[in-house]
Amino acid sequence: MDRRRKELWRRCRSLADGVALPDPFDAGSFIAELAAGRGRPIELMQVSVPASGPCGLLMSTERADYILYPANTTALHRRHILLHEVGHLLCGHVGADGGADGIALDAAAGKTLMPNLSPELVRRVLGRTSYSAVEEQEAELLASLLAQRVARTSVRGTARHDEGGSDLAGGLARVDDLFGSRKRRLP
Amino acid sequence: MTETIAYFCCVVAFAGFGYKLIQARHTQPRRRMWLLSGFGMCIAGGIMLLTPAMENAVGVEEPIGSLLNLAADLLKIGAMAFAVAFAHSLKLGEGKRIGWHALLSWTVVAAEIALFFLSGSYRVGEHTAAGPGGLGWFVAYNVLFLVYGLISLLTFSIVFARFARHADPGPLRVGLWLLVGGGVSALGWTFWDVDDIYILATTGAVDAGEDTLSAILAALSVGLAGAGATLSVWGPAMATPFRLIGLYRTYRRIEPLWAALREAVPGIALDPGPGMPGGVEFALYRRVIEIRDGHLALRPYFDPDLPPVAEAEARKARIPEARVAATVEAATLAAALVASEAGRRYAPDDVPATYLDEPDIATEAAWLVEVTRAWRRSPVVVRVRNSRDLSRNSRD
Repeated sequence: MDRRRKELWRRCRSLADGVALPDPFDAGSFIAELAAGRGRPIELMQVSVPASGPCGLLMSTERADYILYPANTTALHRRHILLHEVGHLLCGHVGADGGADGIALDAAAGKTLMPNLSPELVRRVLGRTSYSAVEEQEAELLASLLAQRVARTSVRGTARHDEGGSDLAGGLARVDDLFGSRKRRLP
Repeated sequence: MTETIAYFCCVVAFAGFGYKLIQARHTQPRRRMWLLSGFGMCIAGGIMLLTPAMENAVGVEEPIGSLLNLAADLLKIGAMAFAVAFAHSLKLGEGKRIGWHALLSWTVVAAEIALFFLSGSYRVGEHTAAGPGGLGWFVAYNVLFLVYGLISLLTFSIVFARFARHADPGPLRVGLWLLVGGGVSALGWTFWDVDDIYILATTGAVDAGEDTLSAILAALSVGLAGAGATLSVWGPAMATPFRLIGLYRTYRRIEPLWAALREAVPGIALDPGPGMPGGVEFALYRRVIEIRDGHLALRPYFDPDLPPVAEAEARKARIPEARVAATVEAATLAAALVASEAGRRYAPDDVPATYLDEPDIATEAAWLVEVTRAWRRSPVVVRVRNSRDLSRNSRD
């Protein structure tokens, strides 16, 4: 692996390790906690993405960040796209302002998806199209690492210690707590 | 030799129990840990007291010889009592009353001590014999031990079998079945005493130590229980190579579909570097996501009229019902690739696809394996793909 890639992996691993993921994972509460930590609202908008647009979009205004993700794909893919856009926020990517030439496609898609949002208010647009840009690579790698951590916590998160329940589910939770597997090493 | 191996197994199992106790000391209620410790200490003591080494060390002259037998039996009763109490503690939760078995155990302990002294039993070399007029009491002593053992071990095995039946597949379930195996072996170990009772009733004396089969059953019960209780520690390490091989197989099985999409939409690929820098699990996840990215990127080229036609074709080709959906998805993808190369856009309202509701990589990968299988082998999909090759050749 070349030095630039090594550095990218190191940075993304370090960021992923620093993220507190709810257990069991719930995208809504994860985003709410993240927004509370950043002191800025994050609005999640599930949209039917137009045919030529990016499959996920992060738009930022003075007031809030908007994450637009597609309805027309699988739950795993939706969650990944959401984590990709969160990755941009965690990495502190600035993208470009709404009027810059290089992001004309993303800006146009943003306008299509949020026609009521004035272009003058948009400070940042980052669309998930391909990974040629460094910022997109970083967000995509971070999203993949976070998804791996979510998958691991969901394995352990299904049964928690519960001394209260005397039914079968309570018993199984206690058995899992005592005899169940420990967490595996993360990538 | 057999005895040495059996005792070695016991030592290994007790080391495992010790580790489990240390590992769980901060997460489990104190009372449950005491129950587990009590079981370990009692069963270890019960086995140890009847070893030839112990008999050589303390001697078998009266009254030590017969008291050694009584102590070993009481420790085994204690082990069974702790095992059942531990099982009930898991089943009912901490703080719930688990009284009936505790009361039964104390009653049995008191009765066994009384019956033992009433029998006036004593050691004669390798055997224990009933005292004058005490044969009936001594038989009752052994019968009570047998009945209590069967009740306790059956209770323990039933509780854990119920857990094992309802646990999700994986190391936990295997571990629970191993614990049940330990309980069943212990049942066999206890039931083996039936012949001792018969010999005692007919001859008035019985072998004082454990015979070879008893020693093997004892080691098996402790070994299986120890293995089951500690499976979470060593199981994943043992299972990891198989799990990784399974993931790699899935990774390779979806490769044809991924390669076709990557060729058509190069932008879907995130190049993580040579090899698999994040491991095979990470590589599989990436491949699944990239297939889904390609699917979304091709959405302008999906023919909205194709899915019902492909479904009818699949049924006409007698493709098994379970594979029809995957065949339709593979056929529509293949047609989208053809349309993409020809620059024929449909811009449908939605992409025809199976949208799995569970955000689970295993489920999604399993589905894509089915789609890839149809992609490679289904005559319906192969026809669509061949039309692409034909149009490519005609252009060349």
